[in-house]
Amino acid sequence: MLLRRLEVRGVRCFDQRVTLGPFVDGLNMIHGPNESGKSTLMEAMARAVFDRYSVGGADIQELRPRGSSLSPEVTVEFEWQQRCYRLHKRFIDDPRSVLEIYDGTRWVARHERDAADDYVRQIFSGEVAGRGLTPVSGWGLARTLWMLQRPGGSEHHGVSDAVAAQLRSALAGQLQITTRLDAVAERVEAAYREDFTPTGKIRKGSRLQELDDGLSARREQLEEARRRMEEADRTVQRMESVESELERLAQERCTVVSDLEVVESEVARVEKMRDEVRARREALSEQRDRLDRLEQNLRDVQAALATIARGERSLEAMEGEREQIALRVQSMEYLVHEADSALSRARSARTEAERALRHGIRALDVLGEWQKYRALCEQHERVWSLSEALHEAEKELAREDAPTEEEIEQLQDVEREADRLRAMAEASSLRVHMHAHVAQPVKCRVDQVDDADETTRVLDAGEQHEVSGLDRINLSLPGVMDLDIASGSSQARDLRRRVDQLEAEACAQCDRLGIASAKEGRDRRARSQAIERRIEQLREKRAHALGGYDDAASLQTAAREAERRVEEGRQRMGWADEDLSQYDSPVLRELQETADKARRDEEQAQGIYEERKQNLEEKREEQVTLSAKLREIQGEIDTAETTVRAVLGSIGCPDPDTLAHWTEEAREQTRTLEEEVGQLEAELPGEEEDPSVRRDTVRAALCEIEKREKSLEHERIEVGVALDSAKTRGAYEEAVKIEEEIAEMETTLARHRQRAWGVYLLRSILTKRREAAMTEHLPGLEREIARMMTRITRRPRTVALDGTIRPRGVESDRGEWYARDALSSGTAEQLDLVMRLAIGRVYSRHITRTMVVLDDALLYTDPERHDRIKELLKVLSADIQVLLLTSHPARYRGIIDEEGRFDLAALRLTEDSSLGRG
Amino acid sequence: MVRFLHTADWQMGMKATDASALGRQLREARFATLRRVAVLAKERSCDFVLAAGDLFEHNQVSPETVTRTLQIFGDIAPIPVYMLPGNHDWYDAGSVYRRDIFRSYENIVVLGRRAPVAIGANCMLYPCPVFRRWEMDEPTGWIPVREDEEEIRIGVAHGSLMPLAEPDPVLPVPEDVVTRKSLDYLALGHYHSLRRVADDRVAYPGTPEPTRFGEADAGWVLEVELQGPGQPPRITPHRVGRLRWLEWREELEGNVCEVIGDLDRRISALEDPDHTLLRLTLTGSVNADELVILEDFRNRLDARRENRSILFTQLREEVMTTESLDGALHRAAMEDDVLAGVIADLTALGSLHASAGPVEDPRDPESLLEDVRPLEGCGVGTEALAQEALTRLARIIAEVM
Repeated sequence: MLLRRLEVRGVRCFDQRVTLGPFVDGLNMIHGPNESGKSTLMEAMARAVFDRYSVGGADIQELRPRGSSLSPEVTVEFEWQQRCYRLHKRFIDDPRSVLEIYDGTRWVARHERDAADDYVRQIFSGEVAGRGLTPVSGWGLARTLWMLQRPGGSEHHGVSDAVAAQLRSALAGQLQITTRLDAVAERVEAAYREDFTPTGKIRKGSRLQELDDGLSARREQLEEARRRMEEADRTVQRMESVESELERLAQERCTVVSDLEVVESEVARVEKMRDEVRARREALSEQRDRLDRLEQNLRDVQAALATIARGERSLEAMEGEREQIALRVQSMEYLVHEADSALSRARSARTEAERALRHGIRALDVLGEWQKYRALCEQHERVWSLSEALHEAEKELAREDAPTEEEIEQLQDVEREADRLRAMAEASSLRVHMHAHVAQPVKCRVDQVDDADETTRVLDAGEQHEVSGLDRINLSLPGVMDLDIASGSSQARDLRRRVDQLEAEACAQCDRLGIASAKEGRDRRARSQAIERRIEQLREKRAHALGGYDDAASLQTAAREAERRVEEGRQRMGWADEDLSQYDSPVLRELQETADKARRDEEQAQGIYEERKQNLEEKREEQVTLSAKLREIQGEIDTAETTVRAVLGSIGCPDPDTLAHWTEEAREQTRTLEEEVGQLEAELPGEEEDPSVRRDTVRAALCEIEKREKSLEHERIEVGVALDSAKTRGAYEEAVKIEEEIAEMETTLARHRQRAWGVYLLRSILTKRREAAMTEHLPGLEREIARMMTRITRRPRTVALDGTIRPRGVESDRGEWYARDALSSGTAEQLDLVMRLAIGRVYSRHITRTMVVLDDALLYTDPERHDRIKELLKVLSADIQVLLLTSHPARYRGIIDEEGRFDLAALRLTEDSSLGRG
Repeated sequence: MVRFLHTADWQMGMKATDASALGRQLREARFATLRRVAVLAKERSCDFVLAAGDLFEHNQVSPETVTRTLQIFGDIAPIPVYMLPGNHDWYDAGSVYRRDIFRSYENIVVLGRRAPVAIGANCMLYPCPVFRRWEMDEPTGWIPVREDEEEIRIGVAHGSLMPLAEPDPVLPVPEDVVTRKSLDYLALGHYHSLRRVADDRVAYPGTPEPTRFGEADAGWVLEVELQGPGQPPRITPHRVGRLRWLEWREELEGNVCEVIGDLDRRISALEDPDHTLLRLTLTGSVNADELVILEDFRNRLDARRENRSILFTQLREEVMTTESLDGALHRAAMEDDVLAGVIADLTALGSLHASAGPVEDPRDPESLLEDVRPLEGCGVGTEALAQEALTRLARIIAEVM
């Protein structure tokens, strides 16, 4: 197919009519800046060629200019196998499709609507259009040769089956046979499409799918019918179970009713026995009450009689005791009197002893005061002597008059500085050591600081002599030489001068302190300190000797006070002699012991007296108590006698013996009644054998049965209703009918399934075989592509294709194979371009001349290769029509003739233009 | 003397297992047959009709089926109809015989208990109803031996007459029960073919209308006449069944076209095709090209059924397909390498027996297995698919070339 003219209106940015053409057989270029509508033109052309005129939906709406209600219109004028066609398409509103053919003089309408669409589709080997836009995979030849701007649009995705078949035919040169094979393949494909989608899935709405769906639905119905049958079966089983249970219950009920009758008669018999027992028990109870009363009376009488007897016995015994107690009281009164006399004596003795003891204590006090007075006198004498020694020491310290420690320190500092400077002066002075080998007179003059000292002496042979001076030494060896040695320094002189000052300062200090040197000051200082320590010791001793007194005067005052007290005591005691040492200390201990003994004797006498008095009181109380008890017992006896009389009188009994007889009789009657009741009770059934209990059990069982029967009857009615419903439903026949339908459908489905999948297999194998055959014819195409690639890249290349004419890989000059994806973007882009050009060339040479569209196809290609591609395009334009779309027209300069160039921007400036050559 | 019709195994409401497409028609045909039996009972002045079990296919048959069946029997009143529950319509709480409609017909008596039923003054019926679907006990065991009765004793049971080859038969009925219990006649049901034993004192009438292919000697009811106790019964079979269930077997040899043509002619010549059900089994071998002939024949049979020129046909193909080619496939293989390759591949996949080598060699097995892998789970075997594919290819090539 060769494009001759293209006209669009109402398509995206083209709201006005725009016409391009005529296009030349070789290279054509539509150029314009970005967004000028180049790609839109190509899309409009594709929509016109491949989509149904009646296509609807959002995608085709999207083709309208934004905000416009214009209907997209496209006119494509093309040449196919030396005949010119014109396709006019209008979408959306008033859609139409008209295919015209040029008969040499005019355009004649050939097909309209769907027929026109189908015809064009066949020309391009496109697939049948669906309801929506036709995908690129259905574009047939254009899928391969139109390299448009769209995601993945530049990559070569192989060719359609139909195009592959055409290429294979072309390459093999077996047009007749392949046409027949294509016819076979077409029919196989048609048969395949009845039931399957192109991707191998079962097509929705296909017979196969319908049968499958129908069968599934029927199977579900069958399941439902079977479920109803099973439900009915379960209902039947439930009814069977209920009826069987009811039957069993009826039998059980008969048995229970029979048991109940037996138990009821037994219960009546036992009740009669129980009435008899109850009557006897009442009589026994009355008899027991009478017996209790008699026994109580008897016990009361017997107790009263016993009380009387006991009281009488007690009275007799207690009379004797009362007499003994009286005698005892008398003897005890005498003993009390005796103890009282002894107590009076002891009290007098104790008073005497205490008086003697008090006198002794007073004497002891006076003697104690005298002793204290003597001690104070001795203490005063000792303090006096210590005070004297202290006074002497203080005077000695005052005589010593030693300099202070600070003064000594100052003096010592001056002396030490003078010594230090002196040593320094000595060190810096001149010294000459002479050793005479022969006797030699030497005159030596030494210059000191302020004066000069000159000496002359003769040195004997072997004698040594040393002279020293601070500043200068002059040695004169008569007849030999004069030797003048000078130090050249004034330091020694300054030092010596400073030493003299210090020594003068030290002398002045010594004079002021009255000492010769610091050493002497230090010695005097040591002695003063020794005296001070002695003074301190004496002070401590005197403080000790004072003992608590502040001073000797207070000590003396205390001694005088003691002397006064002694004098007072001596006079009080009536002692004549002032010297109390002649008076012995009284034997105070003995006096104390005597007083203590007298006190103990008094206490003892007091104890005996009180004890005896206590005993006497107790005995007297005993005597009173006994008298009261005697009176009490007599009262009890009187009460008991009254009781006996009252009891016997109340029951009309003459005497206690008769009462005892009556009681014994009643006891015997009670025993007899008890035995009778015991016998009757033994005959009654036990608790476990109680027929009334059994009767209750049986009645309960009967109730239970009746309850269960009612429940089952109710259940039977319920189940009966369900059963009637199940019976009238006829689920079995429902299931049967469905099963028959399923069987029939399964037969049909099996047959259709075999046919459909047989076709599937046939198609699959046919496709494989065709691909294999195609592969056999591919080397020619592979060589073509390899040549082109080598021409562009300037490197030897080998390309391998698969059955759908897609590059399996490219071999580099080093013999390594690369998949397309492993190539650089530029090389991959070039390979895709070359694939299209090569296929287009084969198609044009062997089938019919055709067009290749390249919409900004070379994005990654470098300028050098771009130039080579330009050359290649120039060469190929002899075989194929090329339509380049680009925003860089300069890149193709020199290869496109003027009549093949179309400036879209300029074209759009001219409304309703018919020609837009740039 | 008593005269009665002995019938059994009507299976009303049955499922048409072998001819599912005809289910409704087959069930309807049984009603027609039943009406003929009713007419026969009246014509033969029978004292009663005895149905020995399986009158209904199942206890859950539709009310319509029950009503129509009872109406037909009700129409022969006052002739009593004694119905015995069998193993298909066993007598339990959900039994079809316990539906209320049975009480609407005075002449219909359900034999739901194992207790004697007096028929007139001189005949006693000993029914042996079935109470469970699968019963292994002897149903006739309860029948008392004759003491000093003077009446005719008729046993009616549903079960398998012993001894039988099959182990653990359902409802075993000993063959000597008729002598042990001194029965004058034992009316049995359960087997669908006519069978008379013990000097006609024991009999199965078989189903009055066959239910499937292979039921030989079916389509009868028995007229039984008993002169008196101890007298041998006189049995007269009456054919009442109308449908013919034919089974043909044909071997494809030599010229397949001719064989198929002959079959076509024989089918066309069938008598009473409206009531004929035909099962045709084809054996032998055909080559891939002849598969088309078979397919055409299959289509013709379907067409016959659809245009009612025969009631029912069923084609069973036990045919072996060979690889030898002499038709369109052969020509295509000679002319086109691709087609030759396709045929070779399909031949290999179809495991066809080679008699003449194909033009091309099949691809390697691994590659072929790849082709059939997507077909796994489609429900059709690889060989059948390959043969089908060859058939399709042959037909397409024939059309194209």
